[in-house]
Amino acid sequence: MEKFKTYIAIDDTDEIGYFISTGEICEHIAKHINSNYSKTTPITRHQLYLHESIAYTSHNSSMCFTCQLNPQSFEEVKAFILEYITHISAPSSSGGVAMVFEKDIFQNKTLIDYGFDAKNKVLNKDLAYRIAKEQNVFLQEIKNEGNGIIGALAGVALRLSGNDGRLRGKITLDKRVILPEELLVKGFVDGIEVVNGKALIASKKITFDDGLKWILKEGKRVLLVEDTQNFYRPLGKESLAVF
Amino acid sequence: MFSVNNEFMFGKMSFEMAQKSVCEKFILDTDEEECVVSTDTSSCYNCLYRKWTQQSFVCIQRSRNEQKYSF
Repeated sequence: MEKFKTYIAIDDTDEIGYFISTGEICEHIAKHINSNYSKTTPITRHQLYLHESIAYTSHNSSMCFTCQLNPQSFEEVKAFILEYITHISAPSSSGGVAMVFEKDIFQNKTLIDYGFDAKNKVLNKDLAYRIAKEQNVFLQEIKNEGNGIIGALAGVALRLSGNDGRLRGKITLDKRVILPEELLVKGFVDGIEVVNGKALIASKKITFDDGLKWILKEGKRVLLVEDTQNFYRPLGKESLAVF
Repeated sequence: MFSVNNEFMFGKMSFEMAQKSVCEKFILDTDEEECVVSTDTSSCYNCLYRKWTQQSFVCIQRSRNEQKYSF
């Protein structure tokens, strides 16, 4: 059976002080799919609107990844996710799940616009359900108010846009100094950008202490670096918090 | 360092103040991914009980207890 690119996003499955975060739950789901159905792409974290009238736990972010599923495995994965999140999510959480075959999305722009609205506006479940129906996205609430569907749909939309989110986790290398070209050739990232807009100098090395974290920009995994006098340094956690 | 609404008054980029504001209720966020600064140092920015807002964060512990701190 033919397989199709599938977007999967979840949101709002934890609570303050709970033993597992939404990101970690998403990692478990991706691991299950990897073991049983398809390779998965890295999870991206998408920051949504921070507003007092939104009942988020602590940071209001949504997690998304993609994989390749056929119609039958899509249903199996859906059943697994719903059961798993129902079981593992926090008692007071309001989880939501969004899943869609990319080929089935009716109009990318409408869905993407919804995603960016979720970064700047207070949205509601009625809108999320309407957009999901129009765009053929499977959307389901899990527990309590089920407000997580708003963010889950936004997670799919923002990942689809290719212009939002940052890698959850990091790329770990066995060295701390590397030439830009090596990162590109070995496929760790698709692009490297200097934050002040200067052109990247191919012979200038990138020095780093920790793993590397890319952002999604124009559909590419882009490493942002700052120019110091003698080398490039990837943007740290503090700077990437805004992505 | 906190407003009457228990919001940190120095925003999201005052790393030194966020370190100075750490209290005895500090618990490192269990998900390292959500830690904004190095996990080697204690900072309110990494605390499990901070809830990010548009401009800064609210301390959930303070909100829960309405405890008066004397910083």
